[in-house]
Formats: sequence, structure tokens, C-alpha cells
Amino acid sequence: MATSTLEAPRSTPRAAPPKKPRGSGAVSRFIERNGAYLFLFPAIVYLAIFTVFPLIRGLLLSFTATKLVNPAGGRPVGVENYEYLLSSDKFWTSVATTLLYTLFTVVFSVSIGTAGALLLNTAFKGRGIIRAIATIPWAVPTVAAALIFVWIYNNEQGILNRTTSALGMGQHGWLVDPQYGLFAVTLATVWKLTPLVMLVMLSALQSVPQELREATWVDGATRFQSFLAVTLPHLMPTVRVITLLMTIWSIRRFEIIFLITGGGPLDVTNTLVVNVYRTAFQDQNLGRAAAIGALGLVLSLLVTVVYFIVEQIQERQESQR
Amino acid sequence: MKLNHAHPSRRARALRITGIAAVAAIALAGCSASGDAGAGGDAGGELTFSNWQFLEDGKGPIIWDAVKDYTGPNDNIELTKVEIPFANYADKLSTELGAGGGPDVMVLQDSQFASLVDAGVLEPLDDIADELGDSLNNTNEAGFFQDGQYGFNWERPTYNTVIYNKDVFAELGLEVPTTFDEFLTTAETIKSELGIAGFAGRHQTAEIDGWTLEMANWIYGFGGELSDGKKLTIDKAENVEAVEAFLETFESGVAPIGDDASTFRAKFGQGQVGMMFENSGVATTITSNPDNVVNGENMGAAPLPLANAGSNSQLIIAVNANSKNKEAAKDFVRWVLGEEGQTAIRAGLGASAMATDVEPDADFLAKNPWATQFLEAAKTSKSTLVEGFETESKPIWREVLTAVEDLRVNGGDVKSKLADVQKTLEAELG
Repeated sequence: MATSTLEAPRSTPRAAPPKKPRGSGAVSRFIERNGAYLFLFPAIVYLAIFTVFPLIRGLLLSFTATKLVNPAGGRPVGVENYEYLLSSDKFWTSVATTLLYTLFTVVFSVSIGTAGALLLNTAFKGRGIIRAIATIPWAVPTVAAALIFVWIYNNEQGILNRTTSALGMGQHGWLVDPQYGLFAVTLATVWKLTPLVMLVMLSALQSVPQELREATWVDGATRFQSFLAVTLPHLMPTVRVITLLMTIWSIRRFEIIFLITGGGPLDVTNTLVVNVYRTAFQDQNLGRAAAIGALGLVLSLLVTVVYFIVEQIQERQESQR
Repeated sequence: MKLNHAHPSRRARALRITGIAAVAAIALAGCSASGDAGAGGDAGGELTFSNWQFLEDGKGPIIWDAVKDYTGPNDNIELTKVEIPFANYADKLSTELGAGGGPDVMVLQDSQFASLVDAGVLEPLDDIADELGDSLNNTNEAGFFQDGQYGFNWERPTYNTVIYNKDVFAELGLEVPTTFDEFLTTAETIKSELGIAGFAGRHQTAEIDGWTLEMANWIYGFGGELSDGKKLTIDKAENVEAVEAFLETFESGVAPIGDDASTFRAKFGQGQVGMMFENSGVATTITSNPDNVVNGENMGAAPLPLANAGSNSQLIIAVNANSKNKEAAKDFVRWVLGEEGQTAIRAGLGASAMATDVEPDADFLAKNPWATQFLEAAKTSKSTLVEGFETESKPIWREVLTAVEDLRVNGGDVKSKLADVQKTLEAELG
């Protein structure tokens, strides 16, 4: 029995639309239109109270002469605080110290952390235990880490000087001699931060497709060539993000520097944030401290802007390939 | 105006929102008013008392035990301690008081006290001074600032004393030094004969508050001052001489470089340091530690080996001008200054001078013969506040100490360095 292959589709009775409960139309339309804003509202309120308001308050404060013990009694002084800072050698030294500290901290943490992650990504016996041990510095409270380093750096009893003496390199005033002050706080910071970089890089490494690497090996690439062709390009976005984050964190880091050197010896570790603390709490000059904070914010923003410009240039170059 | 032309429904909504906000504001105001009423007036209630010493080993519990049972003249006060570590005591309290909060009664260092009086956040206590005037000694002059009595001496731990290890002195047949030259020779002998530090003291800006007290010993000891009451005198000859002597001491190798106070004090307790310029509080702590080699009997104390008296670390008890329980707070200060309070607190304050001439316990004095020297030295010791520049004392001392640290590390001419500091501070402070 022949049947037609082009049968017209059978018409089915159209289902009636579900009845909307009376009065809910306006509410659902409102939610539909403004739902995103409703979900954003708590975050906006949080940011407004804890970020935007203090930021504006801080900026306004920077144009006043205000004492810590009388924050409501400030008198407007225009740009006097900024004029003072921008013409002060101490302030510029503080900026230079912050940049040097940031540069050394970021370069060493990121490079050592990445190298550590590559090492721990290979298969070897006891890898789990080594990974756990390697993360300990990150877990140590900063105050405890700072105290440990103060003991390590002690002139007479410190293990560092004992080691350098034993190696015939003599003793050094790690926390006393301005020549070594920045080195001392940088070393402690790198020790503390490297595990974080390592963990982040390790998770990035584990997302690199194994089949791509294997394909390069089949094509005769060495392990190093395979690393350059496959692993590194996959790691670069993570490297860039962690570098940006580490840079911003380093610019505003306070506790480990203050606990180890207090900004000394001879102000060689007096970074912008330590300077803000000293000005606000020791000199009780809130207005000037707010101005230092505002200029520090400009520095952080500049770093972020440079990062995004570099990021965009790279994206453009990649899309042109 | 724009609002008048708004759509009626928008206007109604605006009115509704305003109404709700007003009700909420009234409700909040009501809550706050009832809260004030509960804590306010002199009808008793909780009285908060802030003192970093509550957290000090040994001393803290004794001081709290001495005051905790205070219930006020009407037996309706409950005292609550506010414990803040010394490291951030001044910062935290200044921030709280500046914001209109803070404890009812507090113990303050004199540098902070001056700033707080200047900011108008401390309650005038002239009436108490008038009532108790005859029983109070002259250490309470430290609480008189800007033409008013805003506080009283809680404790005056004096730095105006050299403490030494009697066993070391006996072993080497040394006499207690009375001049700077004798002091340096003695320290060098200890170092060369026993290989231990002849002297130890703070010398880094990382410990700026403590170093201020110690450096003031040298400055005052040589007859110097940082001001004459009207203008700064940073580069005056006596100050130059004092800084040169300080630098000579540290350059001679008799003192450990890089040790912070807790390290060299621990070393002194273990017999590894011959002499220190120390305060009575530290002397009490060292001698009361049973693990120490140095104890109440083999620790000696003598006047500073300098021509003039040294410094003190004046602690002042004061009342918060924003306290909700001001009268009760003032009653507590009256009690502290009275016989009962002074006797109770004396046990925790060892050999420090107090607001009245209450004697330390006879048993304590018998076990700690060194203590009388501190009690005597307190009478002549001087505050580190820079006269005429009291509220700027900290930045002034920081500038001076940074210069001294620079000279210690890099060398240079003391006179011209202090002259530079003088110029910088004059430009800064006007």
C-alpha cells in the first residue's frame, strides 16, 4: 500500500495559555525589567558603604588640616597637603621605596612560584607531602612570620648571621644597616607569598591539555620546546593576573614591613602605607595621611591602567596572527 | 521647582517613602535615647577602665585585683576592664576618643595625654585637685596642662637610673660609675673581661617610643633640652655632647647592635649584660621572674652616671569628656587617689612613684633593696614632652632620633646634623 511521503502535519488543538494570577503581572514585569538591579543592590549598598563612602571621605580629608583626636574639627587647607608632599624628598623616597619593594617582591614571588609549580606538576614520589609542606608559609600568620624573621635576622644570635659567618661571608646588620633593610623585608615577603603564586600556577598548569603536549612530542619537539609552544601560552593569562594582583597587594602591604622594621632603618623601608600609618597615628595628622593615601591610590590605578593597556595590545596582536 | 511638577503618583510615592524614613528615624532615635538613659547620669551602672598594663605578665592581674572590687560611693558601680595591647593602645584610644567614644576612665602616656587635652576630649578635674590637693605629691603636676588639671599621676616609672648586675661587678672588682667616662670604662672592662655586653639600650627608630625615653636620659643627663619653652634648641651644645656620648658608647662595641628591648632585657636577666639605663617597671619584671639569674638581691640600682637627672615615662589617669557616666568616673579617680586606692594599687606598681607618697610594702623593699633608688630618682626625673611644643613632641623626637640613627650608621658631624634637624623642624612647625 502506497502512502504519501508528503503528508500534511496534523493540526493539533492549540493549548490555551496558562492563566496568570490576577495582579501578579505588574510585579513580574517589574522583576523582569529590574531583576538584575535587585540582585546587584546588596553589592551596591556594600560597596557604597565600605568603599565609595570611605574613599570620598578620605579624599575630602586630604584637603583639610585634621588631627586624629579631633576628626570633626578639621580646617580646609586646599591643596596644601599635596603641595607639601610633592615638594618633600621624604615622600618621593617613600614612593621609590614602594616601587622597589613591589618590583622585587613581584618578580621573585612570581618567578619562584611558577618554577615551583612546574616542579610540583611533575610526577614523583611524595609529591602530595611536598605540595602540602610548600604551602605552609602561606598558612603561617603574618605576625608569627614577621617575628620569626626578626629572630633570623638578629645580629648576634640570628641564624642568618651564623650561617654567613660559617660560610666566611661575615656578619651583617640585616635590620640595622640601611643597606640591607629592604632586602630583609623583601625576603620575608617573598617567603610568605611564593606558595600562593605556586598554588595558583599549579591549578593553571593542570588545565593545560595533555593531548596538545603529546602532539608536540609526536612531532618531535623536546620538552622545552613543548613548554614554550603549549604550556607557556596557556599559563600567560594566569601569570598576568597574578602579577597584577601581587603588584597591587605589594603597593598596599603594611603588616610584615611594619612588624619587621617599622619603616627603618633610616626610613629605607618606609613605604607609602607605612608612611600613612606614621603620619596618621604617630604624628596624628589625618589630613596629610589622607593625601599620602590618595597619591598611593593614584599609583595603584596607574599600575592597573598600564596592565590593561598591555593586555589590550597583546589581545590585538594575538587576533592579528 | 522640579518637585512641584512631578506626577501625582510619584509625589505620593515620594511622600510615602519620606514617611517611612521619618518613622524609622524616630524609632532609631528612640532606641538611642533609651540606650543613653540606661547608661547615663550618676545613677551607677558599668564603668569602663582602660589600661594596657592589664595585659602585662605578673603586674596586670595584681593591678586589676586591686581595683576590680570598686563599687563606688553608692555601691552601684561595676568596673569593667578594657584591655588593649601597648603596641596599639595610643592609636586605638585616640581613634575612639576622636570619634566620640572610648572608655570612661583611662591610663595614658603623657605624650598622648597632651594631644587629647588639646583636642578637648578629656574632662577637667580641677575640682578633684582642689579637694585632694594636700594629699597629692608634685608628680601630679604632669596632669596639669593648658591651665587645667586634666589628669593625675597613675604611675611614674623613672628611667633616671642605671641598673647593674652586682655579681659581675663583684667578680671584676668594679665600682658603680658616677660619670660618663667611668661608665664607659666600666662597660669596656665588662666586655673585655667577660665577653658579655657591658651596656645595652635601645638605638633604633623601629622602637621609637621606647628609644625616646632612653635618649631623653642622655639629653637631660648632659643638661640638654629640645626646647627652652618658646623655641626649639635641638642643636644646643649640651645636646651635641649627649649625642656624641651616646654614639661613642655604641661605637665602642660595649653594647649589642640590633637587639630590641625585649632581647637585651632578657639577656640582662640571664646575666649577659652588665648595665642598663632602665625604668622601675622593667626592674620589677626582671627581678620577679624566677627563671632569671638576676634577682631582687643581686641587681643593683644607682643614679645615672651623668651630671643631671634623666627622664621618666609618666602615666596619667584621666576621664573621658564624652563619658556617659562622668560623675561615676570622677568618683573612681577620687578613690584611686585616696588612701584605699593608693594602698591597693601600690602592690602592682613596684618601685614606681605614685600620686601620693604611699610607701611600698616593707616586705617588698626588704627583698628588693634596689627599689628605693627608683623612688628617689622619680622626684627629679623629667618628662619627654618638649616644653612649649607638647602636642608636637612625637614628630620632634622622631626627627631627632632619625638623625641620631643616621649618625650611628653613616657617621658625620653631630653639630651640623642637629642644626639640620633644627632647621627642618622650624620650617615644619613654624
